[in-house]
Formats: sequence, C-alpha cells, structure tokens
Amino acid sequence: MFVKKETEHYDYPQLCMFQDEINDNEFLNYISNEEELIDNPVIMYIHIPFCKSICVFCNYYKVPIGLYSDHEIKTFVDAMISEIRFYASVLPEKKKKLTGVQFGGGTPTILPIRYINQILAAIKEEFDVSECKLFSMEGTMASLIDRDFERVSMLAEAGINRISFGVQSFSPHQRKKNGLVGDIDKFEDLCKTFKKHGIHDYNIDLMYNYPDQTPEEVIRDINRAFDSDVVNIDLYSLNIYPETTLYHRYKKRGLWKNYIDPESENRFIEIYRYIAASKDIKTVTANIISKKREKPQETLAIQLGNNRDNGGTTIGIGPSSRGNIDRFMYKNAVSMENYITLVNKKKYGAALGHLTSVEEMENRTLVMFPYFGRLHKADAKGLHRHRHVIDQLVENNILIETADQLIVDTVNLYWNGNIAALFYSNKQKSKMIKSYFLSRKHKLNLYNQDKMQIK
Amino acid sequence: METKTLETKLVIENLVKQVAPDNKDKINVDTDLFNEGFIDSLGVMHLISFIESSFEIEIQESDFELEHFRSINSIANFLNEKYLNK
Repeated sequence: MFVKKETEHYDYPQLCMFQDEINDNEFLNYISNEEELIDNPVIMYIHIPFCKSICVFCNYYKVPIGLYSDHEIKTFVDAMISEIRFYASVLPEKKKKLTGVQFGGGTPTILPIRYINQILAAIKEEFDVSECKLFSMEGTMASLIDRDFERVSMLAEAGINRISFGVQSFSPHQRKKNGLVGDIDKFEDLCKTFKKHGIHDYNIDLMYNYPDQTPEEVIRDINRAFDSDVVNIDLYSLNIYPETTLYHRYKKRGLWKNYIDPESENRFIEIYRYIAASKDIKTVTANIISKKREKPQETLAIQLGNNRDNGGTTIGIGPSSRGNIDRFMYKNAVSMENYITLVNKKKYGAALGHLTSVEEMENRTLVMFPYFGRLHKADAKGLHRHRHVIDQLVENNILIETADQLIVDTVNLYWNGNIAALFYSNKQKSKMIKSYFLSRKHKLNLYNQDKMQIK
Repeated sequence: METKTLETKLVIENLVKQVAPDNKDKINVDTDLFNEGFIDSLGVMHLISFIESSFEIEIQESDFELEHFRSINSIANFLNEKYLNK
C-alpha cells in the first residue's frame, strides 16, 4: 500500500511560523483556567541547546557551547528558571504535579553541573515532585566518557535516573564516514559505569538508512546494545531535509538519488521482520525497541503517556521547545537570543501558539496512535470520521481491527508515519502543504523552520 | 516542443503515481493533487525530491509556489518553461 516511508508524527496539529502566532491573552486565559484544564499527568521538557560539536544529521536547535561565555550561559539558565517560575505562577495546582522531567537538546550532559542543579532546584521549589519518578537526560557518548566517566557520577548525584545518548552506529566504518564522535570501544565500560552509579535505565539511539549500510549491520548493532543491558533503543531512519548541509553533501557525492529511492530505504523493513520473529526483543512503540520483560517499564510509560489520547500536558521550557497544555499547543522561540528577549518581556518563551479544537484533538488521537501501535476504540471519539481510512488500511492488511482495538503489527510499524498522515484533517493537510512551500521558499529547515544546518 | 512536453508529463505522471500509489487510477493530468487530497505535505516533499533527481535540476527557492505544483499539467508546464527548455 505504501511506497516511500514517512517520518514519525510526534505532534499534531503542528505549528507554522507563517500561519500561526500567539495571542497572549488567549494563552494566559486558557492555561490559568482551572475548569477548562483536565487532571492528567504533567511532564516538563527542558531544551538545552549547547553542543560541543555539531552533528550534521541533527535537525534540532543547537549551538556550539564554545561560542558562549559562562556569563552568557548563566543568563540563559536564568531565563529558563524564570520561565519555569512563570508556569508555576499561572497554572492551577492540578497542573503542577509533575510525573517526569526530561532534559533534551542539544547536549544537556555538557551543561555545567551547577546549572543542572539550579534548574532542578527551581523545579522542586515551584512544582510538586513528590510523585515524579522520571528525571531523564539526553547526552552524547563523548561527554559521558570524558574524564574517566566523571559526568555519570555527577548526574546520578543530581538525581538523574534515566540517560539516553546517541550511538547511531557501532560500525567503525559508518562512524568514521558519518563523523560520529565518541570512542565506541568504551561503550561497554560506560554501561557498567551507569550501573555502578545506580542508573539502570540507560538508552541509546541507533540510526539506519545510511548509504551502504545493511539491515544485518543494524541488527548486529541492536544485539550489541542489548548485550550491555541497554533498556530501550530508539531506532531512527536517517531523515534528510531539503537544503540542509547533508542534503547538499549527498547531492554533491551522488548519494541523493539512492537516498530517496524507496526500494533502497525499504530494505530496512527487514529490521522489523527480525524483531517480529525474535523471542527476546519487542517493539514498545514504532521506533523504540526493548528486550521482552515481565513488568512494564514505568519510566518509559511516564515519558510516552503524555502523547497519547488527550494530548496530556507537556510544559516545554527553553528555545524551540514544544509544549501542550491540554488543547493549547505552543512553540518557543527558536533561537537563544530571541528566547531570552521573550522571557524577559513576558516571562514565557512561546512565540507560536494555537488553541486546538475538540475535533482536532480527537483527530490527534488517531494521528498519534500508529506510533504506539495500538488504540482502544473507546478512547477514540473521532473514529467515525475516519472509518473509510480504517477500512482501507484493514483491507490492505496494514491494520488489524478487533471488537475493541485497532492494532498495527510489528512489521507494519515501519509504516507508522504513512498511516498517521492518513488521519490528518483536510484543514491540517492544507496547512502542512502551505507550510512546506513557504519553508522551502524561505530556505528554512523544515523541522523547526529555522536555519539549522542551512548555510 | 510538444514531444518534450509530453515526455515531461509522462515522467511527472509516473512520479506522482509513485507518491500516491493508492490513487493512481483516479489521477489524471488536470487533477488538483492537493485539494483532492491525493498528496499531502510529506508526499509533496518526496515528489519534489523525485522531480529534482529525475530531471537533474535544482528548483530555486523563489519557485516554491503551490500553483506550480497543483496538477501534473501545471508541474510539466512550469518545468518546461523554467527549467527544461534552456
């Protein structure tokens, strides 16, 4: 049914810098209205944009830490703390009980530990963390193995109990060719160090669809990670946006034609076939895999729970962060300087916002479900509007429909982005097409509509 | 000129049908690909990549107008006028 794999859908409806703006009053009225807001789990996401070096495949907002003085870093951290305090001052009590705190980036693991402690102290002072079980941080191998793994003990001491970091590939050939930093020979020692310091929830990113990579190579990577008791692997297909450095590099080296060739990419569906047949490994979501275990993973459930069904509540802090407080979706300014200016003026960093209709929230449940692979029909109030799409997917053996559930089997999770796109409303489809053309016209990276990776 | 246009149309038609395989029987040269919902934002991204790769051209930023890509005919006419008849 599908030819070219689409990327995963992590947010819906998406915001567009040319079609959305933020209405401060609407934003403040909505988020401070206790009756409107539901009592659901709340997660705080904090974006730390600093990196030691810039990975060419990464589309997230980031800046080289070497360009910033300690004073500038402190000013930035102060702005984030102001933003945290702002949300604490306007949200009702039921939205202040955090179930998880997640630092993403960028490379949060290179932020000096005193600043991490300051941010955590502000969160603990302003929010109720008595039932917060997840303190998660993303990082790089290089930063974690630096100076004899000293960061690991510091993070454990600060209270971080979950770490995820990018490996992308264990193959020395791919690492060299794709500029992946971090001494991969120290991977096993790093995993032992996590355990030694009581961090048993450590996770890695692996990537497939590099030129000349094979599915067998990725399967070897998966097994090497699980041999070191990695809890979850985030498995991504290399995603190159137009006009980025990697796009031009691939074109220059004659690799682009092969990259966009569906047949070439679709070889990697073999990875999903391998997982489906495995006695030991399973998919947790479309791109998260883990060893089979008896008990469900509590922290992962917290992390993922916020994107299901009603959209949950994610308070996004820091530049480029996306947040959603029930039906209000917002996106912060995508540059440190603009972010700090906004925070100083208004005490929050949102540059774009949109109050989503109830109908679009119902569509959202359908758009998000293929990523999770399973949907209880009772949770999908808007299902009737998508009956023809569901029938078509069932007819093509992409979906399994039972009396009370819709299920995407393990192999078809490969196509989760394609399935999700079918549940977009016509309005959102038009908006995204317009957004695509406007972003290309302004030569922006499509991911954040910024100049990231674009010269 | 006419042969060239016909050739371009055939290539575009083939590319469009690759991006929208389920609807290939419903698409003709004048079908509005976006309003009829045959191609979404991600589909158009792939379609443009396929066009650039197949014709070995690089579409300029100023040409990213929805109207140029609305149907097989409009894509073929636009490409012939701007990129393929130089």
